Amino acid sequence: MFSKTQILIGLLLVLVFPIGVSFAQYTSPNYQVDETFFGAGGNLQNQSANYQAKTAAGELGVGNVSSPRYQAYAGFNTTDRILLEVNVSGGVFDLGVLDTGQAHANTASFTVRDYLSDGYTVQITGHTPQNENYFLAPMSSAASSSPGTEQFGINLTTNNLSGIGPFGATPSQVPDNTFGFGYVDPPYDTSNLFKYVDGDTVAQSDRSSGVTQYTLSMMANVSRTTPGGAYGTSLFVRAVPVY
Amino acid sequence: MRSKNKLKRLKTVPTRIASLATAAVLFFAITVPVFLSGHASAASAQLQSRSLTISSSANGTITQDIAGNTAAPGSGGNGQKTSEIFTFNVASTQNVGSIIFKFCDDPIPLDSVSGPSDGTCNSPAGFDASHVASIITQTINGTNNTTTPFSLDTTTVLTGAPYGCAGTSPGRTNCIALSRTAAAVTAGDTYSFKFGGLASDYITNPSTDNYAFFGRIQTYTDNAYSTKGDYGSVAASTAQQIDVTAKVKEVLNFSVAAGSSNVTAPGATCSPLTTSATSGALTLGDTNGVLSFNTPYDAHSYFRLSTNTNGGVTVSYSGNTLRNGSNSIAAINSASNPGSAMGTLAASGPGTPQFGIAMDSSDATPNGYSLNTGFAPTTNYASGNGTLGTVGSPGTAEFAYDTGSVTSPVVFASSTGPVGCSTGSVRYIGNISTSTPAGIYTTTITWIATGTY
Repeated sequence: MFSKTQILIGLLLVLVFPIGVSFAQYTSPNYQVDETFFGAGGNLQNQSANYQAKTAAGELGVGNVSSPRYQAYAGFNTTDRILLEVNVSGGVFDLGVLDTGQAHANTASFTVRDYLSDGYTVQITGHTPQNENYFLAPMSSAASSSPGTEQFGINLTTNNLSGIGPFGATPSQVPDNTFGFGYVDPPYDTSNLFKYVDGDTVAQSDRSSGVTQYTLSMMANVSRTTPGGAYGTSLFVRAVPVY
Repeated sequence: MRSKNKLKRLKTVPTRIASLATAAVLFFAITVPVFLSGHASAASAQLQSRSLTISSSANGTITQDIAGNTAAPGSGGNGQKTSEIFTFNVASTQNVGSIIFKFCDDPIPLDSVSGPSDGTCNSPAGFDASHVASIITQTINGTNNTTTPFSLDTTTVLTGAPYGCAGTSPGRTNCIALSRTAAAVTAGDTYSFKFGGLASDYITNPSTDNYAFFGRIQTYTDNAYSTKGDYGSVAASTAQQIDVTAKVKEVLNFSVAAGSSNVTAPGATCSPLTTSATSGALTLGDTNGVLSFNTPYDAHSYFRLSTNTNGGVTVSYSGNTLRNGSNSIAAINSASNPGSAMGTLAASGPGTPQFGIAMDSSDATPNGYSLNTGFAPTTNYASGNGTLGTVGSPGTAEFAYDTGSVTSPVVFASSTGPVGCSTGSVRYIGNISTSTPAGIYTTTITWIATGTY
C-alpha cells in the first residue's frame, strides 16, 4: 500500500507535470509565456461546432508594454497569432492638368496594424507618373515645390502650397496614441518638403501597434519641356513587419 | 525474533517498490511528453527577427499600371511576378539540412511541437510559388553563402501529411523547399533567402487587395525534412493600388519682333517678345532707310520659342525678296553664284544686288541670341556672324534666301526635341548695284513654328 505521502507526491506530479504537451505561443531568447491566464474571469476559447468566442469577465490591465528588451500584452483578450493588417483606400487620384504656373497635388490614405511583432516599416513602391516612355522626374532628395521645374514627390504630413492651399495630414492613432505607435520617417515628416525614391521607407513602428492612419500626399510640377500627354502610375503601400 | 525481522523486511519491500514507482512516474512525466510529441531537440526555438519582404504589394492579377504601362517583373507595380525575401536570425546552434517555406492564410501553428509546416494551411487564394526556379540569393550575415549553400528542391514530395503543401505533386504551389548536406548554423546568425522577381522565375501574390498572408518557416536538422529544428512565421500583405493620373498640354510658345528694342528678358517663364505698332517693321538701309551700292546694310529681327514637343520643332520663313513693283532685289545667291539653287549660301558683297538672311550668333543685343542645346539653324543659315564686306571684297558673313518660300516655307532652324526657351537673332542683308532701279522696296516675311508631338 502506498503511504499518504507517496499518494500526495503522485497527485502533485500529475498536476504539475501533465502527460501531454504545452504550447508556448510567444517567446524570446530570455522570456516565454504561455497563452493561459493566471486568474479567473475568462476563457481562451469557447467553442462548439457552430460557435467560437473568447471571453473575459473584466480586465484590470490591458494593452502592450515594452522596453528595448521586453514586450508583453496584458489582458484576457490577447491573441496568439501574429497579425498584419494593411488597408489602403485606393482608387484613382488625379493631379489634374499640370502646368508651369503652380504645383498640383492629391492625397490618399492607408492604415497599418501589426501585432505580436517588433515593429514594421512601410515603403511606397512604383515609378513616377509615366507618359509612353517618359517619366516625370522623381525628387531624389527632399526639396520644396518649384513650379516650372519638373518634379514628382510625396510626403506624409500636412502641407500648404501656393495655389493649392492646405493638404495632407500627420498620422493619427486609432483610437488614440496608447494603441497605435506608427510614425513617419524623415524627411517625409516635414511639411512642404517632398521626396520620391521607389521603395524608400516612409513610415514605421518600433513595436506592435494598433491602427495608425497615414495620409500620403503626392505633388507634381512640370517644366516647359515636359512632354505633353496623359501621365499615370500605380503606387503601392508595402508593410514589412519583423517578428 | 527472526520471524519479526523477516516480517519487517517483507513490510519494507513494498515501501521500496512504491518509492521506485514514484520515481518512475516522476521520470516519465518529465520525459515522455518530450519524446511523444516528436519535438525537435530541446535547443529548437523560434527564429528571431524574421521578416518577409515582397517586391510588390500589388495583388497577383496586376502587371500594368493605370496608364497601361507594363510593370517589370520584380518591380513595385507587378504583383504577378514578385520577388520575396525571407530573413531571420537563427535561434539555436544546430545542424540544418532542409527548410520549408510554406505560405498560408494563417500563421498558426507556429509552435515547435506541431510545427509550422503541420496543421491546416489554406494556400492564399491566387498565390502561386510553383514558378520559383532558383534561389536568387542566399546570404549569411549579409555575405553570400558559398560555403554550405542550399539548393532548391523541386522533387521531394511534400503534398499530404505532415507537410500539407498544395498543388500537384510534389506540392510547390504554396511551398518552397531547400536542402543541402546538413551543416551547422550558429545561433544569432542572420540568414536571408531571395526567390523570384524574374520573367520566368517568380512568385505570384494573392489575388485580393489588402490581404494579409503568412509564411511559415520550418528548418530541419537533416536534409530529408524529418527532424524539426527552429521555426517561425512571418506576414506580408497585398494592398490596393493608388493610381495617380495627370495631364500635360502640348505647348508651343512663339513670338517674333523686329528690332532690339522689342527684345525683353525671357525670365523664368520665357516671356514672349513684346509687340507694338512698330515691332513688326524692319528697315534696311541708312537712317533714312536708303540702301547704297557701296555700303552694305543689315538689320535684325528676333524670334522666341519654347515648346514641349517630343518630336522636335522647326522654325520656317515664307516670303519674297525685296520688291518694288516688277523690280526686285534678288536673292543673295542669284548674282553671287548665278545658276546656283535658290537658297544657296553666299557672302555679302556691296555693289551686287543681294537680299538674304542668316542666324547671327554674334548679336550682342541684351536678351538676344540664345539657343538651347539641340536647337540650331540649318546649314545655309548658320553663318550670319561676320563682316559684310566692301565693294569688290566680300565679307565673311554668309546668307541665303529662297524665294520658293512664298509657296513652301523653308526651314531656318530646328530641333529634334523640346525647346526650353530659345531666342533667335535673324540678320538681314540688303545690297544693291548701281543699276538697281530707284524706289521703295518692301517684303513681308512670315515666320512659322511647327512642333511634332
